[in-house]
Amino acid sequence: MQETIQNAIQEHTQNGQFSRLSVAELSSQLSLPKSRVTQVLQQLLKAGTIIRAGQKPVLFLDRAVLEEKQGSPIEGDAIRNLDQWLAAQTDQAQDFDKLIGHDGSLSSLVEQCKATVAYPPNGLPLILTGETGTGKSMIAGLAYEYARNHDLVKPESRFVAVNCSEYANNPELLTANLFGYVKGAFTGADQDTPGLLELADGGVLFLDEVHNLKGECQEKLFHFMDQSVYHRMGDNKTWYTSSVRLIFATTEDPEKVLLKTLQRRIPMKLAVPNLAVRGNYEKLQIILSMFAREEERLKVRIRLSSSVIQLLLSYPFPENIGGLKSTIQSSCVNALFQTDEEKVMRISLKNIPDSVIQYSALETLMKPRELSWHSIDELQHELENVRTPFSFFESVLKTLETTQDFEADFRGVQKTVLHHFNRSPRKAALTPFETAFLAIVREKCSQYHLDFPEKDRQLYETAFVELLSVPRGIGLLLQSRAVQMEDVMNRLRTEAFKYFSLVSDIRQETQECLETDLNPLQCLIMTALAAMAGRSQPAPRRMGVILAHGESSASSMAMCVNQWLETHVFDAIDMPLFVSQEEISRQLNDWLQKMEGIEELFLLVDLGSLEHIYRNLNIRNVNIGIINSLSLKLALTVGQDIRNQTPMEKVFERAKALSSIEYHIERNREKPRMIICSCASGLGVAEKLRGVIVDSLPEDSAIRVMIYDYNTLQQEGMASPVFEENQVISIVGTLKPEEITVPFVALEDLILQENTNRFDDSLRPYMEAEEMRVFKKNIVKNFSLSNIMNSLTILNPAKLLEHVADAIDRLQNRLGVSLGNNTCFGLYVHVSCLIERLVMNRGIEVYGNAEAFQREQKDFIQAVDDSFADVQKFYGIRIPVEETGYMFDYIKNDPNYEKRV
Amino acid sequence: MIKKLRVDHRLLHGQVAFSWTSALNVDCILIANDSVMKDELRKTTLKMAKPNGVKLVMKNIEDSIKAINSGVTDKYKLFIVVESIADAAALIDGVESIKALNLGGTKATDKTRNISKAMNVTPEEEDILKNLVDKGIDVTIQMVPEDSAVPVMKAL
Repeated sequence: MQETIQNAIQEHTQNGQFSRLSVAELSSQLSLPKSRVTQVLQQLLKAGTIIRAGQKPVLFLDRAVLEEKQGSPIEGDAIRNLDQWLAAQTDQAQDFDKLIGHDGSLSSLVEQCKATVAYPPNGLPLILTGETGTGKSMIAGLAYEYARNHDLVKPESRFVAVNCSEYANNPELLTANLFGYVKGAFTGADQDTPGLLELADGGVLFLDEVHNLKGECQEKLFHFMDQSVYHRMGDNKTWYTSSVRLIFATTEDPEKVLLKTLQRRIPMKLAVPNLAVRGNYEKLQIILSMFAREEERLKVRIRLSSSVIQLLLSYPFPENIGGLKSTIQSSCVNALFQTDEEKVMRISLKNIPDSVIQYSALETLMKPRELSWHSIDELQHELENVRTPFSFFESVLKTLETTQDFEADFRGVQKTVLHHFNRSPRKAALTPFETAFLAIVREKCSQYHLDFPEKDRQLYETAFVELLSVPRGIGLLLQSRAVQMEDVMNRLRTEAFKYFSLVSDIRQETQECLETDLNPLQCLIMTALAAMAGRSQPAPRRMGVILAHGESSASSMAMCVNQWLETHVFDAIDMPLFVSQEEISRQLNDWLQKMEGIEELFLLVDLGSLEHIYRNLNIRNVNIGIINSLSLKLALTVGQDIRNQTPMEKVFERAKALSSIEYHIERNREKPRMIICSCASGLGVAEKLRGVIVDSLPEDSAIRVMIYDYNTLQQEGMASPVFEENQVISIVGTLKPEEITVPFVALEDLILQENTNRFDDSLRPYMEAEEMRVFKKNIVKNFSLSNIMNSLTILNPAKLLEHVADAIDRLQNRLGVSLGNNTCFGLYVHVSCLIERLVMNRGIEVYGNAEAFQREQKDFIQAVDDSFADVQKFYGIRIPVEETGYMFDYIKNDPNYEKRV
Repeated sequence: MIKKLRVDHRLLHGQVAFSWTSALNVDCILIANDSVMKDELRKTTLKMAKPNGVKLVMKNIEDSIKAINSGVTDKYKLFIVVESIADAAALIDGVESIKALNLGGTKATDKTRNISKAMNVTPEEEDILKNLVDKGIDVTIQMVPEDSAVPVMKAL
C-alpha cells in the first residue's frame, strides 16, 4: 500500500497535477481511508522521499522529481509557497517583474508601490491614478502578489477587487457588499452576510473606479481605516475587525472626487503614465507580449509587417494599453483565416481595424517601403539586445523632434552623445572593416578641415566606430519614426550644413567602398559628434556661402561643389520660396556670428538685389563679396578660387566673365507623320474627308490627319509651317496646290484607288501590307457610309454597312472575282438601301424577265443567297429574286466580272 | 432630248443607274442639284456610281435650266435626276419642254406622310404636286421601270 501511494505521488508530481496530491484527493483516488493515507504520508515524510508544500490543503510531492526539476537538493521537508517555488524553477518572472516597464518608465512607481505595501506593519493605503487602460488594476494585483511572495500577507489571504462603477446607481448595495449586512437589513437580506472587507481580511482589497463611491460610504471607509473596525449594515452595535491593505484606483483627479477626509488617509498617490509617454521600447515590448499571448492562444506563429509595427507604435490609443490590446485582438481575428499550412499568420495593415488605420497619415501609408515580415520571437529577441542603445537613441531623437530651440538642444545632444560613448567599454582591437571605415572618416574630416580635439581624438574615433555597429534592432525605432527622422535631418542640413554634408560624404563613401548603408539615425549621431568636434575649430580665413530659394537647392549645389573640390569651401543657406529680405539678413547674421574670425566671405545669391542684402548685415572686420547669379559652373569656379587663395577682386572679375550665356537649340524632335486634307471647295468637305481617312486608318496608327485651308496652302507653298512641324506624307484633296512637292492624291483617285502609287509608297514605311489592304478597303467602306447615312431611315448605317461589306466580300470569293472599287461602292449603297427596304416591307416585286433570270443565273442567285445568309438572318428578311436581279445588274457591268465570264 | 425627269433623294444610287438608264436607253444623266455642287465628296461618290458608257453631268438647278434651254443638251438622250419635288418643280418651271415627272423616292421624315412604297411627302410638297398636275404635267409614281406608273392624284 505504501508503494501504491508513493507511485501515485511520483506520477502526479511528474505530470504537474499538484492539486491531486492532498490527503483528501489521494484517499478518494486510491479508495483508501484518509487516516491510512495520512499515516503512510507521515512515514514517507520521515523517510525523506516526499515533501510537504503549501497550506490548506497541504500537498505532498515526490522529492526526487522536484530535486531533478530544481537541479539541486531541497533543504528540509517543506516548500512554503509552491507557486513561488515553481515560478522560480521555470524562470518565470515574479510579481512586479512581470510588469513591462518595471525597470523602465514604471520603475519608480514600482519601487514606491513595493515600499507602500511593505510598510510595517500592514502597509499603507494607496491610490493609483491614470487614464483608463493604463494598467492600474494590473498593478494592484501585482502589489498583492508581491506582498504574498514576500510574506507580507499570509499565503491563504485573498486579493479582492471591486469595481465601484458597477454600483454607481446603487450605492446602498455597494456599502452592503463592502461591509456586509445582517438579516433584515434590507429587503432580500435574508441572512447575515460577511462583506468584502471580511473576505479580504489579511489580504488586499482593491477598490477600482473609486470616484463612484458615495460620500456616505467614503465616510464609513475612512472610519474603518482609522480604527480597523466597522459595523455590518443593519447592525450598529457589533464591531467587526479586519486587517486589510487598501488599494484605490481612479481615472479622475482624487482631489476633486474624494472627500478631503478620505484623501488625508491615503498617504500614497501614484500616477500610472499614459501609453503614449512610455516610449517606443516599452510600447514594443507590450505589443510583442500581447501578440505572443495571441500566438499561444491561437496556436499559430504570427508575422507582423513593418507597417503594422509602425502604425501600432504611432497610434495614440485613447484607451491606452486596453485599446492597444483590443486592436491587437481584432487584428488577429481579422487575420485568422490568413493562416497558412505552416500555421503562420501574417498580419498586415489591412487587418488593422479601420478606426486605427484612419489615423495613419496618407503619406505614411503611401510611402513605398519594402514589405517585410517579422516574427514575434525574432522581434522580442532583437528588442532584448538593443535595450540600452534603444533608449539612448530614442531620447536623442525625442529631444530633437520636440525641440523649441534647436541650436541649444542640438548642443545638449552632442554632449549626451559624447558622454554615452565615453561610458561604453573600449574595444580591444578594430576589425579590418572598422579600420577601413575609420580611414574614410579621417579622410573626409581632413577634407572638411575638421580635426578632432587632440585629447578626445580617441573618444571621437571610438564613437564613430561604435556607431557603425549599431544593433540591427535599432531599425525598429527608425521604422516608427521615419517621418520625424526626416524632419530632424532637414533641420540638421540647415543648422549644421558643414557637418551634415561631411556625414553625407562619409555615408556615400561607406556605401561605395564598404557596401554598408548608414541609417539616418547613425548619420544623425555622427553629425552631432562632428559638430561637437567642430566647435573648437577656428573659423577658416575665407569661405563661400550659397544662398538660394527652394527646399534644398543651395545645399545640394554646395555639397556638389565641395565634393568636387574635395574641400569644404561652401556653406549653404536654403531659403523658403517666399521669404522676406529681413529673414535673409537674419540668417546671414547668424551665420557670421557662428563663423567669428572669418576674414573674407564670398556670397552667391540666386535672386535679390545686392545692396539690400549687405545693408542689413552686421559686418565687423570681414570683407563680403556678393554676386547675384548662381550656377553650378559659377559656384565651381568661385569655389576653386577660394581654395586657391585667389584675391577677392579677381575671383569676381573671373566670375563676371563667365556669366554670359551661350545657347544652341538642337532640333531633332520626332515629327508627327501627317496626311493633310485640303479641298478647294472648303473646310467642310475637307473635314468629312478627314473623318473618312481617320476612320480607315489602323486603330493604333501613328499617322495623324489634319485639315488645312486650300488657299493658304496655295499661297504659302512648301514654306508653310505645317511642313516644318510635321512630316507630311501626302496631301489628299480635290485640286493639287501648286508648288507642293509632297505626293498629292486626288479624292477620286483615293476612292477609286487609281493612280495612288505615290500615296501607297509614302504610306508603306508606316503600314504592313495587310494593314494597307484593310486601310484601302476601309476607305471605300467609309465613303459609302457617308453616303448611306443620308439614305437610311431606320437602320443603323455603320452596323448595316459592316454586315453588307462582309457579305459582298463573301460573294466575291464565291464568284471568284475581285470587283472594282466603284462597283463595290455602288453595291454597298444599293444593298444597304435594299436591306432597309426589305425590313420595312417595301421590297421591289418586279424585275424585267424575272423568270428568265431565275433560270439562267441559278448559280448567281444561290451565291447571293449563301453569301447573305447571315445578313438575312440578322435582319429577319429574305432577299427576293427580283432584288437579286438588280444586284446582278450592278455586278454584270463590272469589267472584272465581264472578263471572268 | 429629255427622256425623263425623276425625283430620287438618292440621286444616282439605287435603281437609277442601271435599271432606268437601260430601260430608257439614255446616254447622259444630268444631276440637277445645288448642294452636290458644293460637296466634292458627294460629287466623287456620284461619279463612282455612274454606269459605264453613260455621260454624267452635274449642275446646279439654275445652270441646268440654262444648259437645257441653250440647246447644248439636245444631242443627248437625257435623263434628269433631282433630289426633291421642289427642285423638280423649279426645273419644270424653267424648261418648257418638260411635260412629265417621275416620282421615284423621297426620304421619310417626321413631317412627311407616306403615299407609296418609296414616296414620302410633306404638305407643302403635296401642294406643289397638285399644282403641277393642275398645270397639265403628267406626274406619276414609279419606282422601277417594270412597275406600272401610278398617277400621283390616286395616291394623294
